[in-house]
Amino acid sequence: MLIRILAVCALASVSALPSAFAQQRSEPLTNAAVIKLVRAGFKEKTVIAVIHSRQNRFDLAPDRLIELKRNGVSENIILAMLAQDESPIAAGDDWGDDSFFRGAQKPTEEKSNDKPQAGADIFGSNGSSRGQTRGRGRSGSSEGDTLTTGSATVRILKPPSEGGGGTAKLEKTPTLDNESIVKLVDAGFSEGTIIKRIEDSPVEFDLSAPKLAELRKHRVSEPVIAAMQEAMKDDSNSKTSTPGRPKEN
Amino acid sequence: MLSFRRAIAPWVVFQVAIFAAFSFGMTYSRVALGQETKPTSPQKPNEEEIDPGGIISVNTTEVLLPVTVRDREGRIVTDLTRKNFRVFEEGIEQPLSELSLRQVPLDVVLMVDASSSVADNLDDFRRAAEGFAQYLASDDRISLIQFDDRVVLLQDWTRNRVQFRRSLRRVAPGMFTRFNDAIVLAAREQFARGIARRAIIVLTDGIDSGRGTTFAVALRVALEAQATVYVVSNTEIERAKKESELGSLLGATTASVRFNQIQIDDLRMGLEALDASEKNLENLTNATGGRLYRPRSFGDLDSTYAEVANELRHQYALYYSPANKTRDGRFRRVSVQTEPAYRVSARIGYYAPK
Repeated sequence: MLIRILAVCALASVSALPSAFAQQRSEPLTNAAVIKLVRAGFKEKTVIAVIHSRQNRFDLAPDRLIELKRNGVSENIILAMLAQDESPIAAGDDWGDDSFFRGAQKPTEEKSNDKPQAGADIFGSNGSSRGQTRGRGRSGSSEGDTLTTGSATVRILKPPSEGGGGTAKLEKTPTLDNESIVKLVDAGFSEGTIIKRIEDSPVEFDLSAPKLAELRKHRVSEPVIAAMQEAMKDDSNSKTSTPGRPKEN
Repeated sequence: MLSFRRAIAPWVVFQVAIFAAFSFGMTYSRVALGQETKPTSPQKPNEEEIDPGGIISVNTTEVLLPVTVRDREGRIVTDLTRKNFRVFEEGIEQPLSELSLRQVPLDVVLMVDASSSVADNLDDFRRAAEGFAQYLASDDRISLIQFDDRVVLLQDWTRNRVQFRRSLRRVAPGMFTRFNDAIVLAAREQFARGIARRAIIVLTDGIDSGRGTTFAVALRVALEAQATVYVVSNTEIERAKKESELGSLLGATTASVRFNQIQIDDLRMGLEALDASEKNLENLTNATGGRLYRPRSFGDLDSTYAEVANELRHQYALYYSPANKTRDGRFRRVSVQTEPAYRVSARIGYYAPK
């Protein structure tokens, strides 16, 4: 009897596995999930592949970036997260060996009744595909053989009305200030990563002389300071006030 | 000592409140008077230092109605004075004071639907949006929201054109359209505070694929926020595409038509969805005192956004103190009248405070 119960339990748990896995796959990737993958010992390339193949809900505020780094997430993975965050639906495959397909694929986003553009694309789906076609033939002849190899991944994205998009909230892009730059430097991020973050973020820097001195004291490099200055260039003073508004009574 | 503090504290608070109210009144009197003698005053340094969010509580009894007036040819009329306007609330005429027409800065949320119907033309949007920002005055503020299956604030309020231009680079293609959610979030969160005129300008086809939030809710929240909504709709562009595709499918042989029946039905449904969406967008813009623009190509976005900017620059900011001061949270229907030859666009009403 005990053996029979154990067998039923084992069968039930095995049959539940695929649905649990599918459910996990449909959930967006988060910072915590990336940390888990890294801690589980997955290679950098694998983690990046996962980042590219899944929808995400990354929190890439400076403090969260530092947290990722402290948890052993490499800068390449963080860069992949940053890139994916900019274009959440993009189906790039930068790690591929095939230079023909690398960079040739545009992000494809379709509503239900729009025509497909590239790659494997069905209703509500978006995916990436890689393939290779080699032909050998003789000119002017019908003879020849064609070898087609390829692989495709299709990600099913349900519209929010079906896919449990949850209550909508206004997601705010984190604003960088002097303090966040110092934190990134202290956490050991490379100059390139910090500059990219500056370029891609709303900023509110104080670049007065004392604050610049303070930044230099905290080992913020000149190229980073230059990027901060570039981001804060202000042309609003050249604008005059209220042209053409109706006169008041 | 403690009792002295207790006694003095309310007096100090009262004095500070009086001073704040007086400063605010003076600021606006200065603006009003200054405009009569010097209509294109280049700088208003005092206003620059004031956080508009910090002074909302001073003047809650007045209602601000942004009003656009056009002549029969659709040209914007700019030379009206207070005496040319009559305001009715629930059918009862409301008295207009000497300060009923004022100059008010503008807070504008620029929104872009980044779903597939617009995604290929985001560069056109970026260019048009950048051009639009050039028309804003130095005391106007702008923010940028992108929506698809998410609603993302790419740039919070700024007067800095560079920050705004940088934020346009962050617009990225997405999928699906949480249009109703986006309107609700923009109206509730971006217009939670402030005394400026409030406008939302949104580029979209308006076909919502969001979860739960209805169009009626979006309209109500926009009215609650007293935001004027302008929609630059790409429905006309989509319609032309679909009609052309449908025409070529229906023009083929009977066998081919039968073979493509699913696609034909799909296109017909798409056209119906566009018609329904346009009706909603028209209701939204009419009710909030805005306008629905339907450019025929994405190349026309520059001129369309310039037209919206022109309308906003020539909008009258009409203030009045409602005779009914009951704070019951109810909707009050408002209408504005002017010369019979002119057509007025204004919000259909407002929700009284509670």
